[in-house]
Amino acid sequence: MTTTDRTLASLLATPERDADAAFVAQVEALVRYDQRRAAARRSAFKRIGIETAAAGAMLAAFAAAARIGAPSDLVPLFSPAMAGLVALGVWAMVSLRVPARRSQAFG
Amino acid sequence: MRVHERRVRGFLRRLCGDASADDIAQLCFLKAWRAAASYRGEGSYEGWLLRIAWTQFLGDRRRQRPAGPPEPDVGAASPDVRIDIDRALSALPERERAAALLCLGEGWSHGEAATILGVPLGTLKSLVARARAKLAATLEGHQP
Repeated sequence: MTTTDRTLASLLATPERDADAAFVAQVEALVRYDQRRAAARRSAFKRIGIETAAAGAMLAAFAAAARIGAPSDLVPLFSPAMAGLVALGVWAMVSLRVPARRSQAFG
Repeated sequence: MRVHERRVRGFLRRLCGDASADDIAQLCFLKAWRAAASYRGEGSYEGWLLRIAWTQFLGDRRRQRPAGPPEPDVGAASPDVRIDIDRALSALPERERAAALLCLGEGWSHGEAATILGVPLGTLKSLVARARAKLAATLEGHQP
């Protein structure tokens, strides 16, 4: 290594110093915020999916109920109306569970 | 992050020469955290970080164009030679500046620096040679 290279190396090298605690804390806070935001976004997308499925189930249930005629009729086990009722039940179960899980994402 | 913060920020500060260096450094560390799973242990971790920093710097410069060369990063008590070298460094094209900082200043090998900057080895060698010639010419102006 020539004298020029040594001089350039000393002039271009990053000066020695301890880690900048304030900067490190700032980046760590940014990372934590990013983590929370990502969790909230995942939760929101999941919620949208569930709500869309629930709305679809509701529509299917209404369509099925409209096809079987009078509401006082007995509902056969294997019929569109029964499928609609099952879909409504699934929707009710999922809807009751999701709010508790959603609140954990922001914790 | 505590271990690599100094060199990543130092590289970006000399590269940018302005206040945007710390913003880019923050985004660099955030991206590194997000992409931590994609680090396969090929090459050094610091090299991987510097590659992210360089990519982030290029993206930032693309969004900010047109922008002039950065202001020299000169301390108040710096000797003349340091001032002139900082000016000469600021006047270099971005890729030459980055190559000079990595190879001449931080001691990265040509191969490692080529990987960091995402250029072929031959190109990197040319960049370093051109940067070195310009900086050496500045140094010679100070020799008695």
